[in-house]
Amino acid sequence: MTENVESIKGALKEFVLKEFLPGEDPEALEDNTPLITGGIMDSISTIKLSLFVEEQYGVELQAHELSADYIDTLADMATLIHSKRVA
Amino acid sequence: MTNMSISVDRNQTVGFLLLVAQLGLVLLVADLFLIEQTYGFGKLIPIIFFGFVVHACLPKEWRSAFFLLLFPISAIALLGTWGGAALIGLGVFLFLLCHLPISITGRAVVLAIVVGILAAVRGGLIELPFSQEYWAFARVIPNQTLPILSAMFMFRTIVYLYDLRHEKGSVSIWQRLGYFFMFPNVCFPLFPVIDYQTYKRTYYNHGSFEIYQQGINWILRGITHLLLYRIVYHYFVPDPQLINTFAEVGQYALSSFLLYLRVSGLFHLIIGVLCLFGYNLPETHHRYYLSESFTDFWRRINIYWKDFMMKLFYYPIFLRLRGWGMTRAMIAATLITFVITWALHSYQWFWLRGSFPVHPQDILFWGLLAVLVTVNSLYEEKYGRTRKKLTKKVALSLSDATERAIKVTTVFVIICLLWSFWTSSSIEEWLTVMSVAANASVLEWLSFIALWLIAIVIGVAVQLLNDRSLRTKEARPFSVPRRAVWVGSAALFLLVISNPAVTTRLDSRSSDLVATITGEQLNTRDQQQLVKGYYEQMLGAETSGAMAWGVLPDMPDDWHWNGAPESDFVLQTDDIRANVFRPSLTATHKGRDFNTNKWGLRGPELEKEKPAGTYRIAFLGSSYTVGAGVDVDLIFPSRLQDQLNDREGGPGTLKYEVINFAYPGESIIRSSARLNQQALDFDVDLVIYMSVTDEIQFALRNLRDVIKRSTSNVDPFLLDVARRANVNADMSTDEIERRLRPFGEELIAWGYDGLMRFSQENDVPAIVFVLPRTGDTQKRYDEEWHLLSQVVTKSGPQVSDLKGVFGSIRDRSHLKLAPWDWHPNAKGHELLGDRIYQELMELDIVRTATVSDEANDGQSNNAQQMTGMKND
Repeated sequence: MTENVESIKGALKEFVLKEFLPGEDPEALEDNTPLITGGIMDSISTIKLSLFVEEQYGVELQAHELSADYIDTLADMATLIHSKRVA
Repeated sequence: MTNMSISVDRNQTVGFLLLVAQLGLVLLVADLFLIEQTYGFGKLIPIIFFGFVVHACLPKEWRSAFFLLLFPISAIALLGTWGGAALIGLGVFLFLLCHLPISITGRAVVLAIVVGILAAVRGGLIELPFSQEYWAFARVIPNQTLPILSAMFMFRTIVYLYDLRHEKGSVSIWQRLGYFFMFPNVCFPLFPVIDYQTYKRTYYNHGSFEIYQQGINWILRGITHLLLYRIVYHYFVPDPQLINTFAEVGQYALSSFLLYLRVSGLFHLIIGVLCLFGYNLPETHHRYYLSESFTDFWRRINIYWKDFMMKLFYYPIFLRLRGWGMTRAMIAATLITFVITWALHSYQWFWLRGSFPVHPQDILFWGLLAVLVTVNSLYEEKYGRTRKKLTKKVALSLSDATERAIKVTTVFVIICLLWSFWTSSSIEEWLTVMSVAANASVLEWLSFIALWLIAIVIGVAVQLLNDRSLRTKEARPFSVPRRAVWVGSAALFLLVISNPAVTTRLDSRSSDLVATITGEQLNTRDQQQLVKGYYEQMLGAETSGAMAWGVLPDMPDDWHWNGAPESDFVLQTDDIRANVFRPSLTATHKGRDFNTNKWGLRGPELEKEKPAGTYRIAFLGSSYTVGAGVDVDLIFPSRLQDQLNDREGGPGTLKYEVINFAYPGESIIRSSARLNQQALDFDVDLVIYMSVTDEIQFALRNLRDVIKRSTSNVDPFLLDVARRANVNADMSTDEIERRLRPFGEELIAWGYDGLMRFSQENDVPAIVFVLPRTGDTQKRYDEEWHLLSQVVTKSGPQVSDLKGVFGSIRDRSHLKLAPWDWHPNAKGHELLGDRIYQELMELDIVRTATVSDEANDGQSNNAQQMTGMKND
């Protein structure tokens, strides 16, 4: 099943809100909200996210991809996952 | 439209001028407070200021190249032409190795081989096969060159190679080089581990004025941390040997953690400077004294280090082990990461200091922190943690604030204890200090709990007030003028309090505080460590607060006796003196000739029999009077001799001869023995004893050595003190000193009695000068003067102060022999020589003509007249 960037983004948003921002207004989490550089995600949440991505999309994130350069925002994450799935 | 563009331009110009004015003020504060002068930050200040102005005015595409250009300028300004050239040459060579046309792994192997060779040179394993002449040429390269090169490449090369493997997009050569050749590195060997991707990503990623303003804010914050560090360092660090109460144990633990302010101050300063050149790098430390948990502490303190470890080690290890399951993989990755952290701290120490420390404290500290962080991580993985909120609609509840305050204070106390353990001289010392707490009374424990509760209440109040303020305050757009008011006010305040016109109006306590923070001086404990190091060849760098983070430059291996063992140059004696210099010695010590005459004294040859018409002055004292590292004709005893001989004289004018009997680390208890055993034969006419601050500490060490060596020929009084103190040779040196401490005043009083006895029995006047150390604060000197004036007056010798002898030198570091050695240089000796001459003239203690002439004038300078005290 091929999912587009938007649906990946939606699933990621749901995961981030549930795991890292419980009780937060979903509207406040935007596609470009900085999660790592903004202090929302730390090392534990990053590895949790990587395991979620692997389980959900069958995509293995590499160690160097677990950084703000690749997954700082929902948009970045979705783009990376999508590109890996189509590759 | 035109009006609007003019208005925008005007706003831009005003904004830029305000930034320049703020930077000027902040850098002026740094200059007046002598911030980080050890490596010469003062020389970097004009480069930062003018570099910023030019850089900001240049077209954006030229800025990276200009930033790089500042490196050679800084390197030459701080290290000299040869030092700068060597640094750049070696740096470019290492950079080129990173870009060899082979695989990344191949480059890493080549780099590892080259770094291995450099490490062998750094560790002294490789003797360079240069001829003596070539070596002399090489000596023009300052010693700090290799540590600075190491600071530039030891971590950045690893990050760079790692990122090169995955690099996307094109990067200019200027930016690549700029990553390694960051000009502040030239004066900051301890440098944050800057991530290459972050360095690239944050370059002008926001409005330039916003980034510049952030830089100025951080420079000011860094200066504030460094000034607070000085206050802690001088006023709150207790001597572990003197800790007797529960409160002092608390002070010991607290001050050890607070000393870390120096590192956070330095890092703020460095990153602040980089922001001025467009690198909008993240904060290096974030309120690390307010950590809620151990993982939170790890995240807040040295954030760059944490990111480096995560990127290079934690994530790769975790991903490799994730088949074990989340929990197991996390535990293993965390523990392995901490083991590597310990190893890399020692690796960093090796490059900066030249030795690879493997201390049990390090291993235990990192081990305990690893366990605490792992347990905390598992808890957070299972139950989550309080995170930053995106919106701030809900008010903070009292229970949440209380819970946070309890967590913060608990973590703080535990980290203080861990930190004190890590930075203590030895596990034994730490346990001894902690045993005081273990034996504390119930009242002391109750007081501690009460303090803790007060801290919690204050914490809750501050949180609630802050929360209300955050929720009600509207976010305002960035404005340079608004920030300028804050920065300008803070900088002006600091400038005002450092102004002599203001400090002279303050009470002595406040003016001493200002004097203490207006310069880099060693506290009493570290000064003792340095003097201790002088004669025992054991610089206490690894245990000293000032140096715990490698902030002092490297002492060359050949600083003492050109690298040869001290035993080649001294002879042991079986009496209180312990050592004497070998006779007819020709040596190099502290980079200068160090020769002795046939009597083992520093100075020209002379006979015991005094020539007719000669007036002999015997100098006794410690390393300050020996004057190693300064040419013999420039040390203060020689200067005094020259000044006396250069005076206009009438008939019967005397020839003055100064004989230097001083020996390093000597107190009056040794000097009075040396006087009887060595000086008596030379028919001296005047004895001058130079007492240096911490006379008691010197005396304790002198007697300690007697006990440790089981010396035979010792005065019964000293043996009696040892008996009463219940000390023996099997005890550790620290333990012996601790037990002898209550007898300190008695010991030096006995020494001065000996000096006075010599004076009276031989009809030779004696005078004692109380000499401040180059790094002494006025308060410290006054304390010593007060103590000695009480002890010495009872014994009888004339005692005179040298208060303010170094007062004309604003930056005391200009009086240091070397960045790692606080003994006075030639300038310091000149000031001392002049002052001692003036004092002697005022006291009218030196005979000016032959005895027969003086008799005619009805003058007499016998010992009996020389009692009493001159106190100006």
